[in-house]
Formats: sequence, C-alpha cells, structure tokens
Amino acid sequence: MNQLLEQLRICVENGKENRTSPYPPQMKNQDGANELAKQALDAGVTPGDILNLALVPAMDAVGQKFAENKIFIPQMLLSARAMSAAMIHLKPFFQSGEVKRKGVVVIGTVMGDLHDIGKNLCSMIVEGAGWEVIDLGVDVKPEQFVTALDTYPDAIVGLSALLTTTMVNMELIINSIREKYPQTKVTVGGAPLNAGFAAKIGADNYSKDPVELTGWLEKIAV
Amino acid sequence: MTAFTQFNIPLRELAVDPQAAAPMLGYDSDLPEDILAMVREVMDKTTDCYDIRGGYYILDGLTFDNDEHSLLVEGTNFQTGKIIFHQLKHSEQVALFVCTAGVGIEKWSKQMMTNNDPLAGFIADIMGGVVVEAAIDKIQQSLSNDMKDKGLKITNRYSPGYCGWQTAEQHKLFALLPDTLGIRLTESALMQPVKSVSGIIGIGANVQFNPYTCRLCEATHCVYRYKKVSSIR
Repeated sequence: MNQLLEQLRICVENGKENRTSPYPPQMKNQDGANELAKQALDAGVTPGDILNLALVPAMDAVGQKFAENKIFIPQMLLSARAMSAAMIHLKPFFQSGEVKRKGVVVIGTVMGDLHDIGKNLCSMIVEGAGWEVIDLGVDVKPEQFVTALDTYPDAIVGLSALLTTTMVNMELIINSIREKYPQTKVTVGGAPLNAGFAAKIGADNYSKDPVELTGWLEKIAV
Repeated sequence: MTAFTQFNIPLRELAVDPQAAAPMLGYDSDLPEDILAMVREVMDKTTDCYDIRGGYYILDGLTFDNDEHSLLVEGTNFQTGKIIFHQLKHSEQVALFVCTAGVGIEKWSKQMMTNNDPLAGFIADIMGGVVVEAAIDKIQQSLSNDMKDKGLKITNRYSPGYCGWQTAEQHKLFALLPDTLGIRLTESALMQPVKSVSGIIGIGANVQFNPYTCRLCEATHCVYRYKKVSSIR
C-alpha cells in the first residue's frame, strides 16, 4: 500500500489530527491526518483510495478496539476528529460525485428532546465509516424527517432520545415516515431504549452504541 | 412548608476531582494521563461558565399509600413506584430539592461541538453533570447536618426518571418548587438548563441512608451502576 495511505491510516486510528495537535504524545511534531490527506492527493492518490484504503479501515479498527474495551469514547472522538480533518480535503470529490459514499443516514434527536451528545457521537462515527450523514439536530418533528427523505429517498433514518417521555415520540415519527416511505429503514438509540422497545414501535434496529450502529449499517448496505 | 433554603455555590467550593468524570467517559478505572490532562484543560477553560444554584423545601403532612406506592404531600400525589416508595415510607417529612450548574457550560459544550472539537464538547458536557452532582451532594450534606442536630436522619435522594419513578412526574415536583432559580421544565419534562437535578429526600427518625443503592435500581445499563458510592454522611 502507498506509504502515505498507511501513515494516514495510523494517524486516524491514533487520533492524530494535524501537526500541531499534541495528541497522541508519541506522535508529537509529526504530520497528522490533515497534512497527510493533502499530501496523498498531491501525490496523485485517488480520493476513493484515501477513503477506502486509509480512512474507513482506520475507523473500522477504532470501532473494533472500542467494542473490545481497549479504547473509550475520548479516543474514539479524537479519531473522529482526525478523520474529519482528512475528509475536508475529500469534500469537493464527494460533491462532484467522483467519490461515492456507502449511503445516506438522516439522523436527529426526536421532538421534545434536546439531548444531542449521543446523537453527535453516532453522526461522527457513522460518517467515519463512510456514510454521508444529514444531521437534523434536536427536537426534530416527524415532518422534518419526511422532508429530509424527500431529498434523500434512499436514506436510512436514525432516531435518538434520552428521556422516557420523549422516546415515545419515536413511534409517531416512524409512522409518519412509513406513511410516505414504507420501505425506509429506521434505527433507534438512546439510554432508556432497548431492543424490545425498538421492535414494539416498528423500528428496524436498536443499537446501544455507535459501533453497533455502524455494524448494522454495514449489513443492510450489502 | 418551610421557607426555601437556597444555596449559591462557587465552583471552587466543590473541589471537583477530574477523575470523577472517568465512569461517564467510559473508563472502569482512573483516566489515563493524556485524557486527564484534556479534562483538566476543559475544566480550566470553563471555570467562568458555571452559575451553581440550588436548594430545598421541607414539607410535612405526608400520607403514604401502600397499595398504590404513592406519597401524598401538599395536595400532590407522587407515584414514585415501588423501589422509592419503600425507601421513603418511614419518612416524617420530605425535602424537595432542585439544583443547576447554569446554562453556560451547556452553551460552551455545544459551541465546541460545532467548532469541530467534539472531545472538548463531550468532556464539558460530562463535567457539567459532575459539577451539578457535586453541588447537590453539598446541599444534601448540609440538609443531613441540619437534621442530625434535630435527631433526624435522611434517605438517599431520588429523582424522576430513576428507580422506576416516571420522568413525567417531574411536572408535579416542579409545581411545588420555586421558579426563582431560573430552571424551567419543557413539556417533555426536560429541565433547562439541562445540567440540573431535582427530586426528593426522606427525613425522619426511622429512615435509612444507603451509601450504595444501585442494586435497587432496574437501570442495568446506567454508567453509574456499581461505581457510585455516595459521599453523604
């Protein structure tokens, strides 16, 4: 594999964002994901190879380490930040269609709920796994999800809630979505939820963390 | 009902230990040095973001319903659920409490999230929770000391959303609390500022305080479970 791609993969896996970032200490004063992604493009590496041979494998490894309790949320966020730094250089190629992502995930915290940390973590990890994420924010009404699907009809929808009083709104949103887009896959998550609740309200999936979510997305993307 | 006992607490008085964030950041043990340094950095940057206020009312004239597992006080019927009911049922009085870390820390966290520093935003969000818990610990300790002087004991504190007490009951609680602290409740019972806590504490000669109560709770995925031992004495 191209040496630059290997270095980029290592940077993202270890959360090295750019040359000035002090983390991780053992990589101090070295180029990070930001510089290496640019260098790779300048050297003629295709954006698709940068994404599929460096960034996605790096985030896969991060997810695996998280699942095995070898790293925790802070390290995962550092990797996501490094991934974002590299992705900035790829954005024009996504916009031009030269590089394709795995699909679109429309995500939001359901109406009545303002908690967004869990939803933001999921957005970053899902994006890092090679998906385009359309983040609708917090307190998202059913019609906002439907409007997003009007623009991205093949998207998968992710719903987040942190309260027992707001998780019940997930069912209303799913019903609204299915009324117009009966084939749309919906995944749910949040502290008070479980798989039983997800099944009861008609969701296709429940994930307890972003890594489980990306695993499910991989399965249905095939 | 007694007058509302209010506390305005400077952050420095709480002497918050950054390691207190470890369970919520996902760690089973102490934070590693590099992550600890990041937590300290966020704490340094957010010192001025806090506006910590809280307090409690003490109410008497309690009526307990053993069949409904409910508590009637000041005309309000709290359906606390079985677990909390059994912890409170020997109370002669209850303290209804509320406490907030203020809106500043929440704003700072969101700003970091949108400024492409999700880790700082995440740490700030966690620390906001740590600070408000430390503040209510201090208030609860003060209540405990006052009650000891009167020969009374207190129970643990219980909040809607935990141990089977429905979150929606927060509305009943807030109907009895003063609005002077600037904490308001959304329709879905979410407190704003988000970094706020509210709930109930039993008071009496025959109540018990348990340093560790997680085994009572059904929230098996809670990040505090098996980790949180109260410092209240």
